[in-house]
Amino acid sequence: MKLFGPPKTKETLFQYLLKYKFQFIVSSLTGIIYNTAIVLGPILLGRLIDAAGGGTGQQVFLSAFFFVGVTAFFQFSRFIKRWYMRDQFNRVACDLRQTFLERTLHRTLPELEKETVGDLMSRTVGDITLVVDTVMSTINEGWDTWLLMMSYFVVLTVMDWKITLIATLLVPVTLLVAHNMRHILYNYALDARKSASTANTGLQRYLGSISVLRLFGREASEAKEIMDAYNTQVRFNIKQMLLQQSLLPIYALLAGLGIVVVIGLGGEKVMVGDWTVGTFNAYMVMFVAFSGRTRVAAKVFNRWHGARAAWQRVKEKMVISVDSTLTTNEESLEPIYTIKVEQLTFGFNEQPVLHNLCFEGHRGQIIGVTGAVGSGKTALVNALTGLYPYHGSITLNNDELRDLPLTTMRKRISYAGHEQFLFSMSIRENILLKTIDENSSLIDDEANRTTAHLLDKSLKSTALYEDLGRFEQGLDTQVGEKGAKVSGGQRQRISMARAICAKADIILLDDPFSAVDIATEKVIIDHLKSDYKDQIVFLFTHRLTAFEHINQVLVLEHGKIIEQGTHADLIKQQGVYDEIYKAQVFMGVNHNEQTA
Amino acid sequence: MNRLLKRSKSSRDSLRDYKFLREAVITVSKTKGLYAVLLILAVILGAVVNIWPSLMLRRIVDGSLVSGSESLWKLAFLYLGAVLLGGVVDFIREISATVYGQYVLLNIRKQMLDRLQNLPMKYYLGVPVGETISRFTSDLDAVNTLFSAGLVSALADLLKIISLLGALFILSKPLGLIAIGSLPVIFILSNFFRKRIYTRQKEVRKRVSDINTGIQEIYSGMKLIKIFGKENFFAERFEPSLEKHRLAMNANSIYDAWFPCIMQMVRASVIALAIIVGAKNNMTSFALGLSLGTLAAAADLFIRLFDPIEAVASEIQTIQQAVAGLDRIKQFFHEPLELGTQSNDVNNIFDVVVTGATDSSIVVKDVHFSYPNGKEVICGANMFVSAGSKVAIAGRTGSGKTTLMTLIAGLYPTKKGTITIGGHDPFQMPAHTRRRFIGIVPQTVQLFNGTIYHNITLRDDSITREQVIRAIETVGLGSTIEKLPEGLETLIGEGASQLSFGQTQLLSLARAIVTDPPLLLLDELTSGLDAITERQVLDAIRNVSGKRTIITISHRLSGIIDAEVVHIMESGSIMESGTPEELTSQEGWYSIYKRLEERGWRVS
Repeated sequence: MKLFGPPKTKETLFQYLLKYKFQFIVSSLTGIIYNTAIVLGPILLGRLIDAAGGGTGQQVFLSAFFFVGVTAFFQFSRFIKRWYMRDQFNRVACDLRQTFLERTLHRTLPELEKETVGDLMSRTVGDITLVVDTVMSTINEGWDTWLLMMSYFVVLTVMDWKITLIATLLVPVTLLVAHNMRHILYNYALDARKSASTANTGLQRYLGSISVLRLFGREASEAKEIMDAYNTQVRFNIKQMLLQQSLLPIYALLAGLGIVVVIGLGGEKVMVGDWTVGTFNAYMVMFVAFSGRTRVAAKVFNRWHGARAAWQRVKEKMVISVDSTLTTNEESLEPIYTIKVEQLTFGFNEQPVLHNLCFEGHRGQIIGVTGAVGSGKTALVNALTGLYPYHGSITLNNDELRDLPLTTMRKRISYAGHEQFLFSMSIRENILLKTIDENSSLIDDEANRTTAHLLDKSLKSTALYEDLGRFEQGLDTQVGEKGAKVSGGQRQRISMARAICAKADIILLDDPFSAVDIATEKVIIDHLKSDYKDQIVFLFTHRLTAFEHINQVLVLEHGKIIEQGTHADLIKQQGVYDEIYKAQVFMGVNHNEQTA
Repeated sequence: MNRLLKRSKSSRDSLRDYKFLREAVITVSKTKGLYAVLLILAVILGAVVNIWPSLMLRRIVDGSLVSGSESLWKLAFLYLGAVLLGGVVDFIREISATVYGQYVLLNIRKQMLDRLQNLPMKYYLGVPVGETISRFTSDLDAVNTLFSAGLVSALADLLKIISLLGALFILSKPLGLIAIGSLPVIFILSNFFRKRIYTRQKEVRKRVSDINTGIQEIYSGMKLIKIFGKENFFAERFEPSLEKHRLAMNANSIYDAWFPCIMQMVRASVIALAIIVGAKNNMTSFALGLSLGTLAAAADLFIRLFDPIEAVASEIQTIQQAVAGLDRIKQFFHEPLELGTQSNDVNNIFDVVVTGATDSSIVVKDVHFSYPNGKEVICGANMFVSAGSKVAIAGRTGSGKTTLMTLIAGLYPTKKGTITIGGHDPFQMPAHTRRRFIGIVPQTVQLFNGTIYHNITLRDDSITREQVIRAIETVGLGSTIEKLPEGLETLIGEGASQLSFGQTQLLSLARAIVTDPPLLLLDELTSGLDAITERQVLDAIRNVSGKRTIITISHRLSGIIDAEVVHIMESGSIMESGTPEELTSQEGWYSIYKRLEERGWRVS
């Protein structure tokens, strides 16, 4: 069941918020209640003081009851507002994240490879958090500051507009001072942050180049540079603090002058009999609360710019992509008998790396591809995945690869990359790329048995059974982030098991034996030959010992095939293949002798 | 008796542990002691000034409004004076706390920077850069918080509470008792919420980390996901961690939402109670019958009382969290220092060697070495390099060539066996002598943000301009630098003009020879260069050769220039040694490498 997703209507930020109408309405209503009823607090306190000063015991208790009761009422509203607001925005953040992730997953691979993981991460996590937090705090401030101040102001004016007018004359001055100070303070803060950044960059450089510094005996002078930056930072910090805190007596003066007016004029009203002491007290409390808020009022809209930019960054990547219109036909497909490559030219960024390659492969064959660094091996792997555009022709049973629907392609081709990437799941889940639900074993028994059989075969073929015996939880062992909990060789073989278990017709194995010793390598290749006769396996490696008993070998150089044939053929030719093979045997023998 | 001794010893130990803090405080107090005094005065005065407005209110009501005995406007301006004085005292407190605190931090930073220079390479290999930077940034910030937002604020608030209680007692003893009674209630409630919120926040942070890991995994494994067509699988798999995070946030939000509301309700109740008790009639025999002024002042004092009480609860939590940062800095000061450097007699030996007969012959005898993570990288290496000879070390990546070179350069001590240059241990060489004896061009050139001149001298002012010019002429950069608008003063590095890869290599070479050392160590000088630049570099090296001892390292045989002797390294020891002609005729590593290289194959 899908928990999170985009709004059903247009995908604007507002619609994302409106998806949770209930929370929105409740939190707004209670927000209004809280920030208007709050004025009753000081008023009822004033009545209580009056009653205590000269009323009956009954009046005292009644006033106290109302004071505490009404306070409880609007504080409860406040709780409701706070809770529902947080609930709503938490859900909105989840919707945004899930939608962003899904849309990203469904973009095409060439597009995605232009992005960096870091950038995608900062959009998915950082930008969405910034947007949600800013919108929430803006709405919150709207109630808690603006509505609150308005409520107080209205009541103060109603109680006595003359006093209110005079006493609040200085409030705009406070606002102005706060606003102007911000620029100067901001500049000082920038300077302080800049020197902090200089010091940190210096420190990072020091730590990063420590061996050079030590070798050249230059540590002391670099340390002095960093110390200078710290000194500058302290000077700016103090300047900033000085300026910021010097506002304290200024604000005190401005607020105090207002209070002088209130005491003077309000006190006169009490002496004349217009106001009770309680009313006077209430007015004072509300005035102080009102003028105190003015300093905070202007801060509200600062973060808005940053949030708008963040929302842009999120929206521009949440596009609905072509890939996601996948059809899921489960029709059984004809097995692939031939893969034919003709005049294949392929490369990244318009620079061809492969030039006019031609070769053919048949069901049941293992085809080896080798070449020096930069000869085009990786490019050929990528071309055969079908996920990148290419020139020329790659046909599977006479169907052109680029014309096949995506679903078909995925069933036909599987892959184990040289990065040996594992997900932080169990070994079983990494191989099957399926969550195993124990309860599902009752349904679809046939499919489960097939899967189990395939899994078993792949484990045997990659010689993983011995390793599994050593793991306490066997197939259910969690491999940790990036497979850190298993060894490099095990990672590689699990990766390979994943590729051969997928029941694909074409299996691409890119450098699958680099962390595997020669004996195990031989075992695996023997299994591939005997147990995977229905597939075409492409083996990319530069360790030529793997090719001794396979069907054909392609030797690449500068993106072209320079030698082709079986291992025996190529040895007889005494060309590049032969020379490298002999050199590798020499180094391997001598290496083993050395470490024996 | 023993237990007493044990306790005093452990307290002495713990004091010794914080020696850096003591030293900082003592040093700063000598120069900025005035601020410490001002701080204490401001805190005390602040507590007293805090209660004036409330007491003034009583005077206003009782003295003026009710009885009319005192001038209203005079009292109003006195009230203003009290408020203003409060602002000034707060200002003095904040400034003195900031100045004093910042300088203490600065002093600790200096101590830490000094210590960095004496830490062994083992520390730098074992501890990630990010962790050390945390010590200097977030952990020191925690110490700052400990001081200002923690200790100073807690002290100020405690004093405020005492003076407010005192004022309430002055007004009326029973009210004072109610205030004291409310202290634990408010404190415990406040503490309860804060603790809950803190633990829930830890859970939230954990879930955030899970989400980050999950997202990063998906983005990193995108190719696999697309090839296997498992987009929906991974999208569905992500939802539960989002939900877990949301629930963790909710668990936190509940407490966070209730907290201020509950506290305000409690405040209202306490104030109501106080006023009822102080009333003229309240249907019991406990009516105190206080004046209106007293009642108004009491209400005001109570309102002012609650903030510092709640604040103390939060400050205790701040202090607890900040102590963790202080602890980590303490550990930093306990890292073991490098042994055996900076000894005096060694200074003299090397000085004699450099200024006198510079014997730069190198003997490597049965050397074993491993990095802190354990695996042995050099397993019994033996090599002799005679003074003035040109030697090359070749081998596959990972065979130990660079490690051997850094051992010869004296960056690490050997585990077993000895290395000597002219009969002396290079590891013992003092910092200022190194450059005059050994010139090294490491594998990756480290450029610093600054002028080309500074990148060559590395800010060593004892190197003259003539030396620098001679160096750049020798390596062939002379005309290139002359063509630049600011010549040697051109800024390079981040955000400034960039040199090409080849030019950087030449600069690195200039940096190594500017002090005219008798021994040159060159690591992979020509790898990654195009043919033209490679020729330039080779020419530069020939210019530089002279009577120097030169050791070149390369994983490509074609990078070895004019070597008289070639050593082949494999798996941490020297396999073959001889002149290039001798080795080519043997059917060993050298000739195999040569053939593979000619075919363009990677030798590994």
